[in-house]
Amino acid sequence: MATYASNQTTSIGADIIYDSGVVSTAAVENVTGGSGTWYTIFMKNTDAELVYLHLHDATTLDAGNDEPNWILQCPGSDSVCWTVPDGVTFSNGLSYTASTSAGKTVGGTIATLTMWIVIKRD
Amino acid sequence: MASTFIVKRENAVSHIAYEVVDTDVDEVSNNDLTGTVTGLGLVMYEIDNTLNTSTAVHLKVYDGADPADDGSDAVPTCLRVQGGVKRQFIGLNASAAAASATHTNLSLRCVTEPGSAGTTAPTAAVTARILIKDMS
Repeated sequence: MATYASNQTTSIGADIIYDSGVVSTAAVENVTGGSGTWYTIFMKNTDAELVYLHLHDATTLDAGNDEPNWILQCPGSDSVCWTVPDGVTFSNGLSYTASTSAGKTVGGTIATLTMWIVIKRD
Repeated sequence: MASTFIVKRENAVSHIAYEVVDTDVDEVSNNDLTGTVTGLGLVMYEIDNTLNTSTAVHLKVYDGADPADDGSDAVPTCLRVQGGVKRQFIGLNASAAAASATHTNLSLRCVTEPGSAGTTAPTAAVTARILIKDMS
């Protein structure tokens, strides 16, 4: 897993969060460093199994115990783009993990789940 | 729940087969909205939370005919919308012929709590609208 937050506020007013391998065994916490709005999430799933992205409005994440604010699916061996034209806000920060299970359960082997999130920080 | 409308359009061009509207989706699951159909592709979710001006709500979308009202069933899709707004979530996969989520049924709940859990209904009515493709 490698996570990058590209600050492009000056040029286009948005930031891009990139994770080259979202995993089910560890949470990424407060990747945005504060509040904002997310507009688009793109996921590429090389695993044959359906994967669930668990997205939390929280600065810390107890993976497997905290209930996600957004649960978004990405079919197996496929790419998916979730778009919210006017965006949805988060007041704390974005934290996330992934799973092959619905609900808050984490775990399961994910080959590679690559993810981009377009956000605007407050 | 109240005032549920299910329109089967059978549009041969867009393949949008169902438009499901619940004008007061709440903690009690609105069940079995499509019947059991293989290959339901959920492509757009609209959540109107304008009447709850300061309280976020979570729409829980189940692939099942009768999820528990107490939040004990794991939910495969959960969408939060902040208070006072209407938002559309559009989920498409790379082929553009299918959808981000494929179901064989559809049931809905909406509460203030995240994830699978929660039984607290929104104070004011929340409207959910979902467009579904027939991918069979």
